[in-house]
Formats: sequence, structure tokens, C-alpha cells
Amino acid sequence: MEAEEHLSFIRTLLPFVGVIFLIAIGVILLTQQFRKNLYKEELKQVELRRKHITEISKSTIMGQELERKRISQDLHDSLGAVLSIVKMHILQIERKHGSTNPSLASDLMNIRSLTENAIESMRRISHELMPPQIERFGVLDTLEQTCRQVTEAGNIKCKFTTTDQSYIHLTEELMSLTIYRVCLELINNTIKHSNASELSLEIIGSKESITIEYKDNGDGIDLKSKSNGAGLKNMNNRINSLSGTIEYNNEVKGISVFISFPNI
Amino acid sequence: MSLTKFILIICHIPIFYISINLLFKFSQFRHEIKPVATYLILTGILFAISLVLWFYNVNNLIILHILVPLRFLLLITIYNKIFSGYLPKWIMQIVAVIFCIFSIVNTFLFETYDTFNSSALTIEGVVMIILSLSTYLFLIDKRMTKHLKDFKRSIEWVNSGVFIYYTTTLTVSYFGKFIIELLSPELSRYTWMVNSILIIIMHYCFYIAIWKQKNISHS
Repeated sequence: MEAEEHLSFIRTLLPFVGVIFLIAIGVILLTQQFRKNLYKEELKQVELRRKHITEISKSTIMGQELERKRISQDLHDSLGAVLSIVKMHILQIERKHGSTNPSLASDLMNIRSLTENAIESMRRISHELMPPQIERFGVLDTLEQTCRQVTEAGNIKCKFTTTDQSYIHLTEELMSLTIYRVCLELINNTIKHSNASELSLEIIGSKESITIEYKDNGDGIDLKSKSNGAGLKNMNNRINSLSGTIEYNNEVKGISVFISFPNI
Repeated sequence: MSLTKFILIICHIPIFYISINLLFKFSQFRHEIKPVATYLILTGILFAISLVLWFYNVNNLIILHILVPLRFLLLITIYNKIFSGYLPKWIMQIVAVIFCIFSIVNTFLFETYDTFNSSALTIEGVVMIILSLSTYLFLIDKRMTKHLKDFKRSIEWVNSGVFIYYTTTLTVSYFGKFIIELLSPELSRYTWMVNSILIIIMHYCFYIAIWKQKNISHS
């Protein structure tokens, strides 16, 4: 009788224990679901923040480029024209009075030489700010030409290659300028710091991405060095603004840099 | 009139007062708080019917069979708003539909309208305890409660009411059938008195939740 009572009690109590267990499991599962969704939500917000920063960076760089273009055009069209007129006037005065007054002729020649230097500097600055070839011939031809100039300078042999150009839709001005500036920064670094004798630049276009493979046989790069900071930072900012990635690898001799942009 | 009978009647007066009060102000409430107000009005009406049936010595358990699925739906609606964005809505909707179907089937086939619907109440209790405990954990994390804004203070009260009521009455719900069958009518009435007091505590918590919301709206 007592055993039966015990059994009845256990039969009633056990499902109750099950109920409590169910509650505990339910709370745990729900809490885990909340955590999962919170994590997803946070990831979404981080992604949004990243996109926002990229957008800001992109518009800042675009603003800089537009400003450079304006300054370059102003230099070329206004200052360049004025300096050319000054040079022309000096030439006319030289022709008129140079033969009669040798001292004046010598002074005028000095002034003309200084003016020519000013014109040359102005042209160089203007071209550095915004190379006119990019608009006229495109970034690939401009880079090829730059490479040729580096080789012609004599110290470093520069090799430029590009694959099927049909995939490289460099229609977006910012993309062209970014590729140009990044490549120029890499070339400049090699020339200034690496003691390299050879460098190669390869631009590969595909349906999905545009990649740049840069190599030199110099001393490599110390990524932690502060002297590299500003240049690399600028380059990274430019690449990030177009959702691109950059990877530096120090080789046995030299450095290889791999840059990739999504093809828009 | 016995003491327990007197207490049971007295207990119902605040419920009726709250229901009538809310009925006239219903249109002023914000949509977040409307399910809480609906719940209080609905239970007021059902409790009034239940009390009248009880006075005339008619079995009033059918009211409980009607109240349980409706209450469940309204509470699920409130929790759906709380967990919005952190728990897929379909989970709550499926739980609500399954519970309502179960409750109806249970009323017609197993625990008929003239008996205590112990199973439905127990399941309701289990789900509500899970939801209220999870809500406490949910409310601790500020990152998850951004969407609730000033509704948070009301939720704390609603959730406390649900937690207090369902945790303490789970035992009564679970052993409800045994209480009716095994205990003397007087002892059984004591049990239901405790249950009624807990319902009133929950009602007060809900009413405070609405009052808090009203205060926020006016400030």
C-alpha cells in the first residue's frame, strides 16, 4: 500500500520535474537565440560603420583629386600662359636691344633662363598633380610610359605587363587615379629606398577584380618603420576607399605587393 | 457569507474598477501598451461573468477555458513586441497557434469545459515562465533593449507580473485537478483564493505598467 502511494507520488512528481527541466531548457535556448541575433546585429552595425568610413574616405580622396585637378589646370592655363608671355616679351626685348647693349643682353638672358625654369617647374608640378595623359590615354598607357621613363633613367629596369584589357573597365575616374597613384607610390619607394635594379608591375583584369602585382629586387620594406608610415597609410586609405585589399610580402630579395580591387 | 467567499468578492472589485477605467481610456493608449490594456479589460469581463455564475452555483470553469487561450495570445503579442528583432516572429506565432489549437482540442476532447483545464494552464505557465525569465535576461543587456525606448519601464512591470503569477500558480495549475478531486471544498477554495490574490498582483503590475507609460506620454 505504501509502495503504491510512493509510486503514485513519483508518477505525479516526475512530470513536474520534467516541467521545471523544460523551463530551464527553454530559457537557455531563448537566451542563446538572443545572443546569436545580437551578434548578427552587431556585425551588421560594424559593417555599416565600415561602409560609412569607406564612403567618407572615398569622398575625401575624390575631393582631393578634384582639387588637384583644378590647381593643375589653373597652374597650366593661367600661370603657364602668363609665364610664356613673359618669356616672349623678354625674347622681343633681347632681339631689340640685345645687340646694342651687351650688359642688358646678359641680364635678359638670365631672366629668360629663370622664366624657363619657372615654366618647367610649373609644368612638372602641374603634371605631378594631375598627369594629363591619364585623361587622354588612360591609366595603363600612362603607367607604361612612366615605366619606360624609369628604365630610360638608367638605374632601374622596369617591366610593365597587363593582361586582357577588355576586363579593365577603368571608367570610374577615382579607380584610374587610385591605381595610378598607388603604382607611382610603389615605384617611388623602390627608386628612393630599395637599392633595386629591377622592378615589375603587372595589372590583371578579370570580370570580378582588378589586381596589381608589384615586385622589386631591392632591400625589402620594414613595415614597422615610421618613415614608411605616411606613404603606406595614404596608399592603404586609397585602396580601402575602393573596398580593395593590399598585401605586402618581403621576399628573399626585394618585396612583392599584391593589391586587389573589386571590378565595378 | 464565509470569509473566503468575502475575500474572493473583495479581490474582484479592483479588477472590475481597472477594467472599466481602461475601457474608457483605451483609445488614448500607445499601440505597444494596447495588448496589456486589452488583457485587463478582457479578464475584467470574464471574471465578472465567472463571479455571476459562481453566485448562481453554476460551474464557471468554462470561463477559464475561454480565458486561457485568449490570455496566452495577448501575452504572446506583448512578448513578440519585446523580442522584436531578436527572436523570429514566426516562432512566437507558431507557438501561439499550436497552443490555441491544443487548448481548443483539450476543451472538447480531454478536459471538457466543466472540468479544470490543468494541462493547458500548465503549458501556458511553462511558456510564460520561459518567456518572463528570458525577458529578465534580455532586459539586462542594454544593447538589446534599444528598440524598446521608454516602453522598457512598462515591460519590467508586465514581466514581473507574469513572472510572479505564473511561477507561483504553476503548482496550482499542475495539481489543479487533484486539488478539486482530493481536497475538501473549503481547502480547495483557499487554494483558489491564493490564486485570485496572485492574479490581482499581476493585474496591479499590468496597471502600473500602463500608468508608467501614461506618465511618460504626458512628460
